Amino acid sequence: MLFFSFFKTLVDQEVTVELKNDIEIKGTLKSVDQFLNLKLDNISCANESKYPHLKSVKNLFIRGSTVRYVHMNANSVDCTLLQDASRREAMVQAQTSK
Amino acid sequence: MLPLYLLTAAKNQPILVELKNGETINGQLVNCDSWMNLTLKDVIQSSPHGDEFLKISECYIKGIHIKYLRLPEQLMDQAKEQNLQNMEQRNRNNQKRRGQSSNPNANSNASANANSNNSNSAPQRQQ
Amino acid sequence: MSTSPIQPEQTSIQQKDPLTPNVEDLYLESYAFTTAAAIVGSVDRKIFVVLRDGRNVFGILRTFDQFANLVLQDTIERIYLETEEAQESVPKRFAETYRGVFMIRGENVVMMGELDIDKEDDHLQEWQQIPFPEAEKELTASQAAKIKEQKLKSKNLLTKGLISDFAPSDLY
Repeated sequence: MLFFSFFKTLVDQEVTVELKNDIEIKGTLKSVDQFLNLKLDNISCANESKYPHLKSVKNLFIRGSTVRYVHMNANSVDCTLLQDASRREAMVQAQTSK
Repeated sequence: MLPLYLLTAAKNQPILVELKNGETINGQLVNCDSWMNLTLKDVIQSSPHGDEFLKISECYIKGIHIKYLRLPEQLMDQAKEQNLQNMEQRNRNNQKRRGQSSNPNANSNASANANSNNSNSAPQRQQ
Repeated sequence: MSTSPIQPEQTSIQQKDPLTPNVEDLYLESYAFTTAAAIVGSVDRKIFVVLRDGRNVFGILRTFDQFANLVLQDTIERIYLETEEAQESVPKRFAETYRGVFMIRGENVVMMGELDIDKEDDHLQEWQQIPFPEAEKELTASQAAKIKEQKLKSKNLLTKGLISDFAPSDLY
């Protein structure tokens, strides 16, 4: 849930998604779901030769399981908030596992 | 109309199933369930590179191994027809139950429902 | 089933016609961050799907469900033969074949997107079309070579105590 909420805060930001096949796709994050599937608008692909049809693509739905990295602007991330949320999540986990 | 609904509508029709390992199974769909497990009959199984063939009279495929299915062309139109007929039938039954006698209401209801159900997976908020 | 029109929960969103609610809006307003909400906008549009085995499939999205199982109509499968070096003399080649009604199991999808039908074939102008069986053969050959290379790589990494998550079925 934590990263789902984190991605929700990143909606409408520009991100670069690096897939497990090394392809990088830059776009505006429009939506995310519980599986961390991503929906991007305004795509531009760094490695054009792999997916030549991406030039005429308006928006993209990327399955979460195929993502290696999501690069984002450092300014859009509130690290202290993230740390707080992680600590809370860890406490909840510890309690449920007892 | 959900994909699994379409698959159920494909019963007794020839389909092609490609498994995750690349094998293709051609046969007549006997049954399917909500996990996409299938039973087929009069099956021809081909190896991933199309070099070996096996003829099998009956076959069970576990849904989790499926990559994709190819269905008959006319299935889409058939299923949509069926769906529309079922919807209209259901609406007629509902109206009989509610005892609505005014016809204009019945028509607009049927078409509104048909519209909202044709755009799929509409959340069933009409409870 | 009620006969009253479906009202979205947030009334601040403008309502075009209360009698025929826009399904997309319904999803986007109250089920905003779900798989279905991301896909519903693409229904009845031409889309492309990249599968885990590397296939590129183009078709009209007809239905889908919460697992992102997709049903496409008038599907064509296209193979783009990758060119290592950007040489002017070597033409880039592609091949197409008709697949009809295609139902894809959601877990095999890498990505999917809406195509701009005015621009979708623009990139093909620089590509040379070849027969499908020929392209298929070349593709399987190059995939087999890639798998061999990756397996060797994984073996080497293992000797150094590093794990490689290469799966021979993931050729995208």
